[in-house]
Amino acid sequence: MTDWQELAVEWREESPAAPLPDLRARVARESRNMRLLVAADVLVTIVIGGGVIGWALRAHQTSVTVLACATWTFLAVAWAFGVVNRANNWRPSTADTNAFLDLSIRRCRASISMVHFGVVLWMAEMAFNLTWVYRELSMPLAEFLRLWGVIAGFAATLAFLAASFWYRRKQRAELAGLLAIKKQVE
Amino acid sequence: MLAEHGPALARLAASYTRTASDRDDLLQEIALALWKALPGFRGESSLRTFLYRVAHNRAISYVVRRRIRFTSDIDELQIRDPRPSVETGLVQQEKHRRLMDAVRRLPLGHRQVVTLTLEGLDYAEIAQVLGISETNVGVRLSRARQKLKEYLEAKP
Repeated sequence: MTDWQELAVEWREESPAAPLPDLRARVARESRNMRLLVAADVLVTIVIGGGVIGWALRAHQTSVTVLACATWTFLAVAWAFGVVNRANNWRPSTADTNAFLDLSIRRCRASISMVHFGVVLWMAEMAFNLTWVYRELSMPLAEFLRLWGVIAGFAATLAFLAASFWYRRKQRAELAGLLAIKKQVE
Repeated sequence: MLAEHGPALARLAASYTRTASDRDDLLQEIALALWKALPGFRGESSLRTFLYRVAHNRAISYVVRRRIRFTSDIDELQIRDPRPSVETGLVQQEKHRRLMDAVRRLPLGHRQVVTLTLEGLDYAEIAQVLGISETNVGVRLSRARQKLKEYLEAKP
């Protein structure tokens, strides 16, 4: 027997048994979670986008129309970026491992870009919304900054930045792992 | 299909992980990935090639997410399956353990071709799974054989 044949016999001596999951239930749960995420995206778009349009139609004020246009611009930019960023980064598990690794690396980089874009978009939206509200209320700045809504907006911004930072760190660690593996298989 | 290829997939999972519980976790993820991917199989390759592609891809994702380091340090490879085998003697078990430890010490590129060779795939099939040329498969196997010999002949 050749070396490899002898080793193959030794290799296949052990057949570790491992409990297999209830695959149907797990696939069903994952599909349901994905559908919920998509539904949440669509719901947020409808509620915010639809809500601001409804307000603009009722209010008949230029400032509210400007707000509605800006809101839909932000929504459109977010959706467009998401589509473009995800294009060509779909990662079929059936690709050969080299191709799969390359796609995984691209997808990781796309996720990091998405985080940066998200932060820029959020800051732009917050700046616009705070400016718009400040102009509508016409109150002293110090008083404006003490409003509960404004404080909540700043708090939400801090939370969003913290979450973005955490997610970017995670993606960077994953990218480093993938690049290390890529080096090993070259 | 899982019953038929389960042992091979379990050995593949063991070659990517360091503990029995990680191995079991990874095997479950592989099973799930195969379940999802199988409806899309159109016979472009053999079923075996298809299975191993999905399994290796899932294993790579798993080790990256769990930040499992690939190490050549034998002291770090504390893999002991607590479940005693009723089918193999202690000597065969020990031989398999030493072989598995040696395989785990190989760099990933060599480890992949070695595990696929040990499962009986030929050069063409291995090249299809990994997306490399058959020449590259031969070169990696040759280098891996030298390393394996070194590890297996070292004192335990």
